[in-house]
Amino acid sequence: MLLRNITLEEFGAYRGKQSLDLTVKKSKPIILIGGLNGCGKTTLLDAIQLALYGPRARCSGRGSKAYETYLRESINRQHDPARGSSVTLEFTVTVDGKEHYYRVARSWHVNGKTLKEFLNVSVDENYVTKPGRRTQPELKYSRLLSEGWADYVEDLLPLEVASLSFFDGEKIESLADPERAASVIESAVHSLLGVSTVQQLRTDLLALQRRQKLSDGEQHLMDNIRAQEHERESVQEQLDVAEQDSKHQDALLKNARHKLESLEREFQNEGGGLFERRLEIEQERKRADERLAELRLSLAQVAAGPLPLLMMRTHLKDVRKQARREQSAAEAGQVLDVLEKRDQWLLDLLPEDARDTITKRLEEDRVKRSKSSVLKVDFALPHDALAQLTVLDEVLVRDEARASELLALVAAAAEELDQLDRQLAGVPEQSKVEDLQKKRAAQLKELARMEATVARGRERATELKRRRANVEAALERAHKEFVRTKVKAEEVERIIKYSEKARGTLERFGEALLQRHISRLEVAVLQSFKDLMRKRGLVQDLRIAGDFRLTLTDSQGDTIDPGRLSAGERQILAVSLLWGLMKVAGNRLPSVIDTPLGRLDSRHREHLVDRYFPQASDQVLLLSTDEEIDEYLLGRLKKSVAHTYTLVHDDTTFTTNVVEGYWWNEGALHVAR
Amino acid sequence: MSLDSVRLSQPAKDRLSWLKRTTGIPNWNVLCRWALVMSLKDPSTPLVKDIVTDSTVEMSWKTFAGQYGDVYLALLKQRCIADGEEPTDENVAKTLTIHLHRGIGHLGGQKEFQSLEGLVGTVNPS
Repeated sequence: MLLRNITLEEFGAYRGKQSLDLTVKKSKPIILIGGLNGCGKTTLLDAIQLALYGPRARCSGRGSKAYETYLRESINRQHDPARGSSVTLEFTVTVDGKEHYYRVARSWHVNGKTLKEFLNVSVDENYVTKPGRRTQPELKYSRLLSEGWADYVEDLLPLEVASLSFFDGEKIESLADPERAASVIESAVHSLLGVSTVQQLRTDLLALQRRQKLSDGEQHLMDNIRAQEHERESVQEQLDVAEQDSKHQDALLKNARHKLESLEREFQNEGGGLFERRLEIEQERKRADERLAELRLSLAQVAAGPLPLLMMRTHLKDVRKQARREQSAAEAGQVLDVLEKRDQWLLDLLPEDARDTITKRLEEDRVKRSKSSVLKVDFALPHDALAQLTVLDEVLVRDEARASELLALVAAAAEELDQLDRQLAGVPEQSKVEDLQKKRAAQLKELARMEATVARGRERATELKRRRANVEAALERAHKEFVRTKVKAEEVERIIKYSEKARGTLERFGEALLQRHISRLEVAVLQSFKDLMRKRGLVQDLRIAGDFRLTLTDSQGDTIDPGRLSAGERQILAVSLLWGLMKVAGNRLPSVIDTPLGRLDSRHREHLVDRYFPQASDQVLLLSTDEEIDEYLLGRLKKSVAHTYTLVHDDTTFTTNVVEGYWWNEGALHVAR
Repeated sequence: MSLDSVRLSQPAKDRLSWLKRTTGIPNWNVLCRWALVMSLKDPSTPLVKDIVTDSTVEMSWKTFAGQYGDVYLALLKQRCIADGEEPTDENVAKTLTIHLHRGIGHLGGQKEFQSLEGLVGTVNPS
């Protein structure tokens, strides 16, 4: 940045329109402006700052006054406040190898009770300087810049930086105090050397990061997916547990089966098998018993028949004889009558003589017959007695056979029953196997229960698998449906992640940069100090600590207490510090140095004039009294000076005019002495 | 006394009740037939005692003898004659009562007759 021109109109002590050409050449970077105390050197410095920063400018005369009040008081006392004052600053800035020419005009006037301020910024974006010739810029009013100047100027030349490059004796005085120097160094390092840019970058990244947010709807979809993922995990977990349980139950079941088998074996060994057969035998016995009873019933039925008569066989024979006898007797009785009738009929047929003999013979026959019809014993049997007896005989033969058969069967059945009873007697007592049987029954029950448990476990696992499949399907759908959301979310995550990373990198970079700047600053300040200092061997080393405090070390390596330095030496140190800062910053800014040589002895002044001012920056505005840069020093400085001006104050009108030249060159003519 | 009904004494009834259980033959008349035949088979003359037919067990001759009533009657008459008595109704009834009760005594007294198989086995020596 190079200042080109400054014009003051009715500003402070400056009456009318006063303009200073501030153009410098490469080999002549110094603009020397002379002025006695109270002539307006500081006002000039204030004007530059006011033009650029307006209300934020740290003007020396302002103090704690309100900006409006300050402006009002800055209008020249002899001037009409309604017409007001103005400050116009022209400067060029090189950005990317291109020079831009700016003109900033700040004007204000009082309108009744209120104060009106205007800011006009004109710019020539393509200003070209041709060597050896002064070219007139083609300035164009820029509304955009005029309205947003406060922000724009901060990019061109931050106020913090400006306050370092525009300094006066007071600032030097304050820098000489190590306490206050630390804060100046800190702000200088941060703003002047670009560390603050890194900070700003980090803040911007954070803002970017905070802007990265999903919309509510997208967030909802993402939440949904997350919930489903969560559910899937939980189902999987449950499934794992269930499967593990299932395995455990399977093992238990296997054990229970083994136990049952061993119980069965034991039971078998204890005759349990036979015991088991007991019921079978008992049933068999019951069947045999029933069969026996049936057979007996049949036998009883046979017994209910004529069977007992078998015992009377001989008696029955007699009865049969008797029956025959009785039958023949009956038959004889019936024949007798018939014979008598027939005999009579025959006798009637015979001749008389033969009748008697035959009659006699027939009667004899009849008597004989009648005798046979009379029985000694008569049972009065019925006429069919013989037939009955014949039937009885047949029945008895049949019944005897049947009885015999049944008896054999009954005997066999009884024998079987006996056999079964013997077997039953061989079956062990229930009490002996009861315990085992109970255990076995309990084990069977336990087994059934465990089998049910295992089945339930399997069912549960199946159910869980189904549920997992469902959740996975739903998740799949959700994924497909919301894949864009997911992509965006990932992008957001990536942005956040990388900005986080970048912020970390920037932080490290900022620290490294700071460290590097501090190191360079240490070297530069030490070099400057050594160049300017009369006592060359006093300070051996210079360090800037983490809290930006300066530490000086002497040749013995001991720390030098700043209190031991003289006021002049402290001033030299302050100048060295500023110079060092400018050197590290790259001489990009104009230095405005106001009354720098107070309190210094001649040797130190010489050092400053010879070594500092010509090299302090590409453009150095040196504001000086005739005591500070005197004729002798002017002579030493002359070859580096581009322009000289003298601020001439008229004590009668209390106004200042700018006059070309310095006291001891052509400008001296105008000096009112 | 007539042949129309057959009546038992109380001791005979008690014994028959017991025999009904041991032999499994449920009917009075069946047991009575066996008892009668048992006694008739024995040729010895029964020791005649005064038989008081005072029990509640009473059956008709038809019930007692069943299908073979004529045969049983003939056997009874035969016994009367063998014992030297006229086979009058009265004598036949008396013989029946005497032999019935002696037979019941036989059935109860001899072990082999106390079961159905024993009973049936007597007629069937095989």
